[in-house]
Amino acid sequence: MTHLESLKLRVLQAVAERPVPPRSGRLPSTVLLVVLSATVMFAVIEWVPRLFGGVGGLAHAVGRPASIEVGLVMGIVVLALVSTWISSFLRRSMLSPPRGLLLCVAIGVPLCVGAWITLWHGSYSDPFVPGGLRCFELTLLTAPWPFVTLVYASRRFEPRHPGTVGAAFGAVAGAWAAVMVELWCPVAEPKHVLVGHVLPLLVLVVAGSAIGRRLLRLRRM
Amino acid sequence: MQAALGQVAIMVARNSDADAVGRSRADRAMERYARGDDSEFAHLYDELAPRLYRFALRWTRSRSAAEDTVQQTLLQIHAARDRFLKDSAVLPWAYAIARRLLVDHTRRGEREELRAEDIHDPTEPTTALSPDEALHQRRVEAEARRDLAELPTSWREAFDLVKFEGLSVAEAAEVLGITRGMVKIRTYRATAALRKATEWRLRDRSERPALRHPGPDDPSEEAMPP
Repeated sequence: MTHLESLKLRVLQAVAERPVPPRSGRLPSTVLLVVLSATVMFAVIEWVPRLFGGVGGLAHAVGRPASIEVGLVMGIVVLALVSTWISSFLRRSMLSPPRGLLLCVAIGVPLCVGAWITLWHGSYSDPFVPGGLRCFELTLLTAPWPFVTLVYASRRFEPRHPGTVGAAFGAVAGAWAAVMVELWCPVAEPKHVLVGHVLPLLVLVVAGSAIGRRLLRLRRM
Repeated sequence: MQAALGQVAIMVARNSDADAVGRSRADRAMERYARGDDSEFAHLYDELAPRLYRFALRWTRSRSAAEDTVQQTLLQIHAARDRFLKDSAVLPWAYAIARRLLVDHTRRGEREELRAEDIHDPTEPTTALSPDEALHQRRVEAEARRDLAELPTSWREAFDLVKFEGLSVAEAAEVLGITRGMVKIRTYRATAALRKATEWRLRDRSERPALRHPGPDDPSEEAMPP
């Protein structure tokens, strides 16, 4: 018996000792999680500002013209969809897309969100002077839900660059959080955008990288 | 001549198991295994284990470490059975897992040196050599190994996967997580450097050329042992 044949017996025995069920459709559970995630994000935008004595939900953004609101939010939705597609669906094996592409997502999303919102500055007068870090907090409170959904939907380990995948997931979750926060915040003043909208995305990228390194890495069995 | 043609025939046969839609035997076995056919795992082992063992043995030069890598890789594949994506390629995934395990192994510094004759392809037929031939072969292998070891890690990895493992450029790019163009560049540079070293040896020059040509694509990400 060659060493590969004896190894085969050992591997087959180990496999028999740890049975894994066959592949099952996970679309229903993923869809359910997406719906749940969106609901929680809306709830955060609706209720968290009220806890601090502010106005919750879409009513907070009434000072901004509706057409501008739609254009601005649609731009971020497109960015979120594209970054989700790149980080989760653009692959032909169980492996993630190339590291360069994931880094583009991780770095590009915060920059694009910041640039896109700032682009609208001056097209209308800001309804009030922004204060505090409410947008920063809201972004960080809404982002974990899409992040969990992304990790669950991918349900994979990443043998090559788990940290980069985590960073890209952080950026994608941040993009979806930015959509929600933009529905609430009517201010496009550059300094506020930088602190309240871009900085939390950078925090999410760094946190996503750290979580990805722990959660998505290959573990010995 | 006949032997060389035979080897080429074996290599071609080994790499031409793709069906009409370009899926290899390993892909088909994994797909059937993911769908619920438990007996397919043995076929998957037969398809992957010899290649992974050869890959790991060349990297670690340790039989026990190579066997451990093969076992771990196949267990990881088994554990992902329920979430295996339909129609995905198994080979790049398996090599990427093995490579990660080997990088971790190298970082732990677990190495057991083997003699050159202990490292051979388990699927390759062994032939009896005369003492002179054996000595010559050992010398040539030692020189080739030294040349290969002197290459930058990124070049060596790409060269190893494309030239030794017979992966396509696209598959090697997936394993390494880089673009196809980068794989081509690294393989080309490694080949050119090895050719230069061989030419030098044939001319028997006193000064050996440096094999390292650090370029913009040489970040030296992870250590690969000589």
